[in-house]
Amino acid sequence: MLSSVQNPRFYLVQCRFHLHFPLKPRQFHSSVVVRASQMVTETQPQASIAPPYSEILSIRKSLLSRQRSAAEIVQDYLNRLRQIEPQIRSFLHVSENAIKEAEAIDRKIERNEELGPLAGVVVGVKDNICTLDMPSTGGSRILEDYQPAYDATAVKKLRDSGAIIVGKTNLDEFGMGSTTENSAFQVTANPWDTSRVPGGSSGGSAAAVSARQCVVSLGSDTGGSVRQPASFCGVVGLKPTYGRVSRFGLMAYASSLDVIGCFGTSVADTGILLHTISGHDRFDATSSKREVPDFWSQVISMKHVESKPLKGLRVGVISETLGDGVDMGVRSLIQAAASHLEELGSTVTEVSLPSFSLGLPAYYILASSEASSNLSRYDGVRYGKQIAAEELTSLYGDSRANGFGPEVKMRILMGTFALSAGYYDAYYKRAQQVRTLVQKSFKAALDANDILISPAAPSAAYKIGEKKNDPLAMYAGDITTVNVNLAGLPALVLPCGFVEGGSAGLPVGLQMIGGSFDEGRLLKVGHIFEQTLQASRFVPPLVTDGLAC
Amino acid sequence: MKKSPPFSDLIFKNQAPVTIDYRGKEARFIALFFFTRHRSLLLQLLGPRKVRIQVHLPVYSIVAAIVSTIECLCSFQTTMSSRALFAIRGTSISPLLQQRYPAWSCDSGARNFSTRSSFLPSDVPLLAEKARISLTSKEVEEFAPKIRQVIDWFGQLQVVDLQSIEPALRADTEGGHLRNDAPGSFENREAMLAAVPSYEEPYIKIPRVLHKE
Repeated sequence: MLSSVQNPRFYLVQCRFHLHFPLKPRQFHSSVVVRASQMVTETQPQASIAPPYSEILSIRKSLLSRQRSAAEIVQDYLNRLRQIEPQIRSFLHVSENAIKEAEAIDRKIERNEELGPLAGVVVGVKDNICTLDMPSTGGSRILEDYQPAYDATAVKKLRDSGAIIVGKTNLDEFGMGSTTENSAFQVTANPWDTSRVPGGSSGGSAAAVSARQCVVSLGSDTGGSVRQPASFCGVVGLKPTYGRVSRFGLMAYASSLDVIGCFGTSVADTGILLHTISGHDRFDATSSKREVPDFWSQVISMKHVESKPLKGLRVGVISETLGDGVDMGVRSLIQAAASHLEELGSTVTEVSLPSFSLGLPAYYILASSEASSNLSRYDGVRYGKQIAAEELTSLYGDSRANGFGPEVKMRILMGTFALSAGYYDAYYKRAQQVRTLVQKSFKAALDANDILISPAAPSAAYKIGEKKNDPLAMYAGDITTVNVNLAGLPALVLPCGFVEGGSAGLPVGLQMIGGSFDEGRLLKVGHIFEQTLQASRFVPPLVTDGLAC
Repeated sequence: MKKSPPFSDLIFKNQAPVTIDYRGKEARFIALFFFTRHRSLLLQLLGPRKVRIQVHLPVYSIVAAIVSTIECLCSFQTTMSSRALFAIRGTSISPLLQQRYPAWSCDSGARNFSTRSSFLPSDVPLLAEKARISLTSKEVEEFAPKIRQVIDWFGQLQVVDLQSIEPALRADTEGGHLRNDAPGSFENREAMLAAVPSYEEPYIKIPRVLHKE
């Protein structure tokens, strides 16, 4: 028997379900209700296939009950990582210390010491988040072999909780891109179909979790970079509220839009990870001092759930995201998800956000402008790759020209243009004003609804190389995600079904948007949705065909 | 036109002329000065370089120039040159003018989303210089149409009515928590210095800053 203090919250598996919604009288809207045209979901959720629960909790359980040792668990993940890596190329660097750290945890268990909440959990970290003992390149040649002198706050919190960081994952250079094709090092493949993109810019993190190379991973979301790859790879992705997680140590792309986000195979895991990395940080003046609620106490057993667990929840479907630009298959899956939510007791109505389409150009103006400023620090003088020159301006010019990829250069130039004298008012200032409009319209929509839903991306994963040469086509894929960044709201993406493609279909993600700092509600709704979804497990064939999981 | 002193001749005589583009407020101001008797003052102010000044003026510039004289007087910035070769290029209505004087804007500008911005392909090298990135000519060729395409697409924002809307700096979640202005020390100084490409204790080495152009 272990004498160390066990946190009883982790045994919530047996707990009763509590309704956390505020009890106040509610008007039910009489406006149009969305109905699914194709898929019919059953009212009695009798899952014949066990839905994903929480890998983190089961690891903890097996460690505490001494069923498995941390070294065994980590070795298992490392073996799978190495086996699948040649096919998906999701990691830029794999840690050499993972087994040693696992052995240290095993020694702690033997000595009956208290374990952190994420002890033994294998985590991947996106390469634009600084780690002290591993190179952090940001996906760029200008930082090739750069070893930071400090850990990002989110990484430090992970380490303090006992997590084992197994490696740094691939990304589009500095977060600019939607496919990982803009990485200076390699293109990551989607585990569901290796000829397709995993999404981006956190494609490596999403693919690694999807392929079960790690339990959870960290990504960053500036315009959808956690949510779109989560949708493409069939995993859960969470973008927290701006200010929930400290950005200290995250290589800045657009400082007013960046957040660090979480990937997991289940909503519960994603919530536990979010809880671990959230909190105020004195090194990030934009981080919120608000208390971080117990996100993982939302994790409940479905055995005791009522038949209408979401009764009283007002859900709004954003009508602009179900228009012509979105694939038919995706649209019908979202409508099916809406009716699934209805069956769980919520009221679903359609909501219109009038300034929605303006958000995309406004986002790109703001992001390029802020990037042009943030990336001016990469000049080859204090760190990074330096190209020697006779004079300083050439040193800057040559180091940056050599180190940056084409997409980064273009965005810096566009940002420089938008901020230059004579154009600042016409572009940057106007984009800021559009941001106010977007914030206002979300606020109004979230006053009338508790959460909003939409597709996470207008299509499922497309082929590698398909959109590489057309910047506007690639930007258009972000239409469902950028407005959330402009408003700074939290959003959860979870897989809700499949469309045709690949050998086993391609996953599609449902995006749920909540009010500011309302991640708790999102996680609860997401968890219930996930546990009651009638769909096969979202494990890519690459993994099931390979090792026994 | 006053002659520059011979001293400057020695230095700048054989230099190729540099083209400076003036737009917006500065363009109107310079045009106004040039067309009045303050021409010599302008040229004297502009220094001893050989320069070709290109002034991009919207079509309805003269009226705009008269109206905006006073504000231009406040915002003028001098640069260099005498022996200025003055050229006026007419452009389509600049986005600024359209915003400020919507009644005078061209009819076609308001219809489609791509306002014909005065962004010229030749400006990519200028932007690259501002951004301190040395682009090859091949890259300039490759980027210019893509950049122009995206900037035209950005133009959608011009036609929206954004009167009296406050610009938002970031998401309005609370922030602005400042820490005390007290010095601290960073523990891992050695690692920071180890990352410097060109270090000669205690200096970070860079090549020469000032140069003759």
